[in-house]
Amino acid sequence: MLQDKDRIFTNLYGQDDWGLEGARRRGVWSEIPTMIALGHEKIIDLMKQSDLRGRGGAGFPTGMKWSFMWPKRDERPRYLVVNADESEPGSCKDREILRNDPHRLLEGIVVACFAMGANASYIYVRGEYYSEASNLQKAIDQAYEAGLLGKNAGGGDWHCDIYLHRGAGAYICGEETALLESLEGKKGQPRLKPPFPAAAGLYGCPTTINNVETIAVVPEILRRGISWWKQFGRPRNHGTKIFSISGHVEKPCNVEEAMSIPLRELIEKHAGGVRGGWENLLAIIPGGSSVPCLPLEICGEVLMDFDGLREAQSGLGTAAVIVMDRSTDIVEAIARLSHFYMHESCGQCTPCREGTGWMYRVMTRMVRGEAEKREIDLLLDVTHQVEGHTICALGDAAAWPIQGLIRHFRPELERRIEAYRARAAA
Amino acid sequence: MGACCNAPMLQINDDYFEDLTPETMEKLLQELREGREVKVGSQVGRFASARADGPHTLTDLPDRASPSGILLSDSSDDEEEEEAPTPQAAPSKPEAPKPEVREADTAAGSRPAGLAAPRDGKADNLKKIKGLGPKAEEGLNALGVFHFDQIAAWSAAEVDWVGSELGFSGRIEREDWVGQAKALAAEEGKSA
Amino acid sequence: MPKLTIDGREIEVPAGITVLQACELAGAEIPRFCYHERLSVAGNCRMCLVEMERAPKPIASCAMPVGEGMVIKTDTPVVQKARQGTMEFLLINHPLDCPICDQGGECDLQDQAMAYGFDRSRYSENKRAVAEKEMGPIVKTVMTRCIQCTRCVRFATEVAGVEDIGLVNRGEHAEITTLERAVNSELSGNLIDVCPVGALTARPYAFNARPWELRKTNSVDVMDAVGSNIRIDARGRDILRILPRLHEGVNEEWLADKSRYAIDGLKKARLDQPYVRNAEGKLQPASWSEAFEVIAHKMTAASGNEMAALAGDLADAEAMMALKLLMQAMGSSHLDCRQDGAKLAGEPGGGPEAGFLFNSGIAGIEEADAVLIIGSNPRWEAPLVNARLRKRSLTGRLKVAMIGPHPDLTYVYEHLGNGPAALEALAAGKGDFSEALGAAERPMLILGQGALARADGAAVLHLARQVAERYGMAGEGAPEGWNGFNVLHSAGGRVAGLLLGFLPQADGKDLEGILAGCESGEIKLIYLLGADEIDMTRLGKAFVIYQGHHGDAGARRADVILPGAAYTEKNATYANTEGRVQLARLAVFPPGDAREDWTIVRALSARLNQPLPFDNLGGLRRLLIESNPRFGQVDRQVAGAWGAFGTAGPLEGSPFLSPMEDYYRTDPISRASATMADCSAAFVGDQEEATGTHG
Repeated sequence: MLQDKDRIFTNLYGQDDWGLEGARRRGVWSEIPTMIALGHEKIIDLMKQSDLRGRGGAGFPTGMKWSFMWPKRDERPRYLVVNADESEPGSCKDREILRNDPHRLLEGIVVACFAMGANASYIYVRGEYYSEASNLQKAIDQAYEAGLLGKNAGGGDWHCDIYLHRGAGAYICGEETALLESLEGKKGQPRLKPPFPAAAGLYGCPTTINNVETIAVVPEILRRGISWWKQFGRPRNHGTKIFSISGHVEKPCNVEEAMSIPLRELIEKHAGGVRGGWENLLAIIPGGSSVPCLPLEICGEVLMDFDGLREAQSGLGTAAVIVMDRSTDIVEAIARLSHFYMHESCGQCTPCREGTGWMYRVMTRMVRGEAEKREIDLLLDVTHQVEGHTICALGDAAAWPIQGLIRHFRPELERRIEAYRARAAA
Repeated sequence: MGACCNAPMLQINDDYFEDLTPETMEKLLQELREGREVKVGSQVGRFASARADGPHTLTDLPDRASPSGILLSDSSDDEEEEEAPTPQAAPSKPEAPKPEVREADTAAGSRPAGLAAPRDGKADNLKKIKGLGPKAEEGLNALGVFHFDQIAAWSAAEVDWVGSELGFSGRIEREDWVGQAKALAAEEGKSA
Repeated sequence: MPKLTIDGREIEVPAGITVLQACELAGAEIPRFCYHERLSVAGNCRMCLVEMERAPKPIASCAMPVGEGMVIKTDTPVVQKARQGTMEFLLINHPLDCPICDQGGECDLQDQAMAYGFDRSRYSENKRAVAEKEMGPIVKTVMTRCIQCTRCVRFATEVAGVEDIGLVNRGEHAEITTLERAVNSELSGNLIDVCPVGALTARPYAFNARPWELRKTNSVDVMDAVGSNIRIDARGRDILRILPRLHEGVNEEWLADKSRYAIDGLKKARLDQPYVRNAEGKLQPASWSEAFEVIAHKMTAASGNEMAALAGDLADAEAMMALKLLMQAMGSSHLDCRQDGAKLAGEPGGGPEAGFLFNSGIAGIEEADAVLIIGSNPRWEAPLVNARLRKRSLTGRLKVAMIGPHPDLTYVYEHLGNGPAALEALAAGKGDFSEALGAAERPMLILGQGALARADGAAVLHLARQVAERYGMAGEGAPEGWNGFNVLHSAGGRVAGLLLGFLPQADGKDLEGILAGCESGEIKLIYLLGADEIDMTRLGKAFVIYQGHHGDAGARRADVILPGAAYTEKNATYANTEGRVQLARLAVFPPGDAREDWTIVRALSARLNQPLPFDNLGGLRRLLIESNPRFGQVDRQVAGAWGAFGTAGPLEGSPFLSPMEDYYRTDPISRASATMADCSAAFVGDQEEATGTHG
């Protein structure tokens, strides 16, 4: 188990003061000038060495992402946009950072802005997060007052301004390019890539979009050193991570743990185990609603990191672990997710617009068993027709849960269809 | 709503109401109807999304401004090859600005005698001690601690020193590593 | 020039194009719905997916720029499967109403479904239905058929410059909508063309015909002076619709609404036989010989200079040439084709052609970096010229300023003033825009008829020439090959008239002189060749011969009516505002006894014993070319020779007004059109209020 001294988010539970004073007590805002003195290239290089992968779901190597921004290719302004539009069902980690440790995010922004040569950063906060946005704004104000933002941000030789923007409740605006559209005041619809945001992002300028957690851990990695960071987790999956464990566990909670922790250990050590014992487990969605679920057999073995879960045909996503015990109607649960994705599809591109509705409708019939067995294959076919053919990843996210369901729970679907037939015949 | 660990919950205007039950929900609505002050946030008094029975981590935070010494200087390009023996900042980094509290910590207690290598080349599985993980084991090994009997023999001052050196002050006492080690050492002795 | 491999074949393509275009160059056809060459890339239909080596998933070829060494495969099972999947998704919520859909037979979705569709549906849920939207008298909507490709949205916002159409709601509920009122654009008909399915179809054409029943004739449009290239679709004797033809130099692939849907006016109020006013003053049907008899009687009775002729806005070059020759033969020198009284070509013989042409060419707008518009509302007078100006303006490299009206042109411009004073200031080098013009490399001015059709028109023309010379738009100071002095005409027949010299001959009277002569009785006979826009009350007691195709103002005043052919009913030559000579072709025959106009004049000349020196169209066209070689250079655009034109003189203080009061009702055809009347009712009322153009 990760020791408290190695935890970065030392005020995850909000027991301490979230304000500047408390943050300073926890070591936040210390040594920023030393970091800035390292220079742009060095910080990016260290990030590459750290193997830090984006905490927002896709797991893109952060150092590489930053290296697209620096060295500069032209004199356009460049921006860092922090994605705090945490809307993935099951995921509730960024909220804790925003409300309990906002300064950790702010110092991260200063360092990241410096590394990429950005002088302005926008934090796009989910609209529902009212008190979180309020804390964050207060923290920004405190930081400006203390001279930690603006000119000579963090005490170093860099100008960094931070602006907070509140979203208006669309899941799709968590997609990085849709987020940019929304930030520019347009309808939140993903953009085509290329051009990637690093070439033409916010207002057509080079932009990097990072998750809250990714940015917030950066200064601590620099402070404690790469070797400290890399002792956690397997190669390519290093570091610590906040896991959100919800659903049918004895004690649902958020906890920061080392990467590559076995899923079972995570649940048993931190969440008090599955309700009714491990054997009562039906399935786990290991990374937020958009990744395929895993059945009991796999859950006992799998390691919680990007590669481990990919091998298990699922994904780490946001590391939001949704536990479902045997009392769960798994088909209905996945049908509910299908409804969510249908509702949140932006409607821009064909496969997602039309496919999510189709999948949801077939799923609702599957819940009752009111279908033909061959429709299971049809449904699977439809998910494959959506997957990989859309502008953004929402299409994939809508397809994967159903694919997971069919992969692991086909007998349950067939049983329902038979049962419905039998009822209809009677 | 980003409060999955606190489900079931609902948002009324700007406020979240978490960890609801049918009873608390009814009570909440009743109170709202009557225009009374309501309890915002977790209805069972949780700290954010810590465990309902109280935070089980972050209970043992070192009381200091900076979590450890700055390691910027050692993160050189050949960093990857370097095997950091301890996760802690080595006190031998003079350029690392060290907070005062940290100094006091380090000064507390006395260092227990260590071994250069495990006896007979075989170390005990220290992880058998509840609460002692692989990282801590590695740290102890680096300090020359390989066997249960070594831990069993620690004095209070030595416990303090090890605790602060490895950055888990208080935990050794709370989890009674010394007591556990005594029992395990006895077991080892029996089976041997 | 990146080199890439498409379906195993190496090909070198221009840098900056998309993979889709490269595939086309390589001969691989890529299906698409949302992609349109002239609109921004949306990439949302996902039909153009292709496989690219080293890409984990299929890419949208319309949105991917070509890169060196790309390996593209367009016909693999993965691609086929992806396209079939997309097609299936498009079809699940698309109604199966092709048999009653006007797009049937020319529907992209229908065509692609043949290639990528399944023969049956696997979708057993309920289909979606979407409420119809109001898009005006021209565009009919069946929104359930919409595939949300957003071409219409992009056309409206990018080309037409009206942000009236948008995609609202999300996911399955996403739908195209308007602001619950008609789309206020003179280019709205193009929405029908860009729509790949039957969601937006033509209201006037609804349920009329199938495309394969139509006889297609390539022709040119004369409803404005742009000379848009069109295709006339007719069945039997009815013209059912007009579509644009691609011409990069003129109309690209757009067409203005009046050009497109004034055609119902071609069936109403037509003159289909000769009429002669009888003793009671009533117009009575007559035979051709009776009508000629009356004319011959009057014409032989009058001396040459007691006769005059005016050519109207829609007159073709052949008819004007024939009439000019006839009037000359009869000894009359009172000719004019400028029925609005514009003071153009006032010099003997018409003066330098540069003085009345759009010298830079319409496509030249795309090279200009500053433009001064004087006395014109191009949005109405030439919607497609305005679209070009907007296109150029959106690149950010064109500064626009306006003197005269102050309409909404759909792009940003600086309004320098209302009347000649502002132009005088500019000629004197005053004002901010003077600096912009001075700094511009390719400046131009656009001089509208509103600045010329007034008493001081010749002085304005003179002043405009000075401005052009001062700022290096034309003449010696201009860049090599650049002539930015542009006169914007609004009448389709005008420029041909000027080119062939349908102008006062030696000692002849111009429009004002002719009208004054009629009032005073000095002129006893006037021949109106489709001239309807003059003040008929000023014709006094003159004997009026009206030759034309519509029973409009001229016919009502006429003593003899000779029924002619409309532009869709004759093989005729027109010149657009650039001086570009183009040929209109006969799509349907004129109604009843009506004849092609030049034949009427030729026949009349025989009856007058002054037979004109040609017997067929070829002979007449040779005479045209003799009069001006431009008529032999079909579809060529060259600037006119520069020289002195205009006359210095006192300027009035009154503001320049656009000659157009109502875009939808400018000529006998559009005035007879019910569709145009609907458009006028829908748009013009609030247009005036919104912009104060005529206030």
